[in-house]
Amino acid sequence: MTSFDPYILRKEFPYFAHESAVWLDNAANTQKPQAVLDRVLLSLARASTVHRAVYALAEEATLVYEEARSILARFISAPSKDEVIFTNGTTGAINLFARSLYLSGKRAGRQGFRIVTSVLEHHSNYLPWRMLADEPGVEIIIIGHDGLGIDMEALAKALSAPCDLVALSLCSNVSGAWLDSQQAAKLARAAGAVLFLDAAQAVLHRAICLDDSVALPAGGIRVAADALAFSGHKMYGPDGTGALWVRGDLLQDLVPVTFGGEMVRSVDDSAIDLQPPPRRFEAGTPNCSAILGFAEAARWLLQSPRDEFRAHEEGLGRMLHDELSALPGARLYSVPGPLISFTLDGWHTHDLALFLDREGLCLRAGRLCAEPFMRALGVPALVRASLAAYTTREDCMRLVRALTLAKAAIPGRACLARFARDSASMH
Amino acid sequence: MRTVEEILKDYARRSSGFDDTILEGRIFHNPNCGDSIRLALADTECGVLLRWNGEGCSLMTAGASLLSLISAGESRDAIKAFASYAIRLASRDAQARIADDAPLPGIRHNAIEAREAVFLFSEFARYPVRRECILLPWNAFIQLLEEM
Repeated sequence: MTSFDPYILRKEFPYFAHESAVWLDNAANTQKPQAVLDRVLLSLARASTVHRAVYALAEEATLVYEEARSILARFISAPSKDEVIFTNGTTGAINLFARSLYLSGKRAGRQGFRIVTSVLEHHSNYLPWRMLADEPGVEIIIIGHDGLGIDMEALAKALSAPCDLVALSLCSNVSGAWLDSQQAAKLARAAGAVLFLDAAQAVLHRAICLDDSVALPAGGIRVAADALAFSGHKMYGPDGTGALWVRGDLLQDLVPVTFGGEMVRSVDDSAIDLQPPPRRFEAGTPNCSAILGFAEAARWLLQSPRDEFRAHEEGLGRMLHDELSALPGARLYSVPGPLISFTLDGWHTHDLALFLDREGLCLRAGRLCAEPFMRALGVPALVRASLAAYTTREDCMRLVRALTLAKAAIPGRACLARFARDSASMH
Repeated sequence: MRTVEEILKDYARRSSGFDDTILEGRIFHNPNCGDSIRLALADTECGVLLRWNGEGCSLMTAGASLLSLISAGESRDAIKAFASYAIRLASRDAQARIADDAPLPGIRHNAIEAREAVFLFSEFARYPVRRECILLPWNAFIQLLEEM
């Protein structure tokens, strides 16, 4: 544990002033600091347009919008802001990248397309590639797991033959296990493949550094990749925001898959002259207010003591992991850290989540959008507690106490008590 | 007069229609949590007989139990009419509400259980994710009838 005080941090988050429920679903969505809310509201209060109009308000909006791109680039230490494309989230980013990469290769006359991904992936980094596999000439190889992480030996074996793309999660949304991206990149390069990383779960907990020439921030991690995606809402930013970073030379070759306003320099009956990246990938009016909120969240994190955040989250996560490991009947499916997935003997995961809800705790339960990994782990579903910088020791101990109560309760009865409180009676 | 909690507890405990000897029949899944239910529908001289088994939470169990009790002795058309109506009630958009003493669509025999289902499903309109749990058997049942 560090001297970091989450209670002081909480003062920046309106959620904690208005809500009493313990928020332990940070892997799905994070609460937002006031600075982010203010930025979104300010943008909405001064609506304008970007990259289009010449009036002063629009010029200012364009500058602010591009400054937001610079902040996001700095957030992941990307070499250039023009390698960052705004999207509506990690899902949107991966779908864009998958379609675009495939079409680019096809137009360049590439025969066949070999993809390697893993059973650990969130559906957003699984389904876009699986859907591509329906196209003629596309082959997909899904490597297995080694305990709670990716089977690196299987990855090496899969990449002993030429490959076009490797798509993996940097941090699992089920087990919390981190990928050794340096090793994955080495294997991908040897196979001639592009390495794409889903960093949705990673950006909350570690400062990502893509540029080897940049000094590694305290608590940060050097990440090797050719492309990477992440979401705003999982790092204290607004919902419906995300970014796709693609290495500059690779980005130049990608073709857009969405077409509309402000993504071409000229168009006539015979030719289309696309804007240079990233604008060619951002057709139509962007969600400016949310994107500015996303950039504000990145700025807020850049200015925060992220090494202290990390130490706090890791310390609490390990403590909670140990507590749950010692709880009779609890089975853990995650590595020690700020994401803990588990089951409790005798309890259906949804019944347990409803029981915990009654106890004032918000936890996700279900397949966690990772059905293949659930099958591989041999469980139908899991309950997941996920921590953030504002999580307190008391939050974690409330969960431990509630689970201890659950052990003593009768599953399927206790969980229904919630309805007694907030539902009507039948007359 | 029973509360939602009492109704749910009761039907979940009774697990009416549960039969772990069913090995054949259509299996339906809840994509959110992985729950599954296997339905076996038989026509008897007295009407339909619905049996089920599967892995599910207490809400799914209560929903299946309730469906099994309501459908007992009814015709396929009658229970289909009622199930469609009940499912619509669980939708927040549903405008149609019936008076406490008004006839229930399709139902001839099991009015007490059917009225509890109407009450329960109206309440679940406020829980768009949880309602998928209790509706799993009901949606599966409609799908099964349409496939038969």
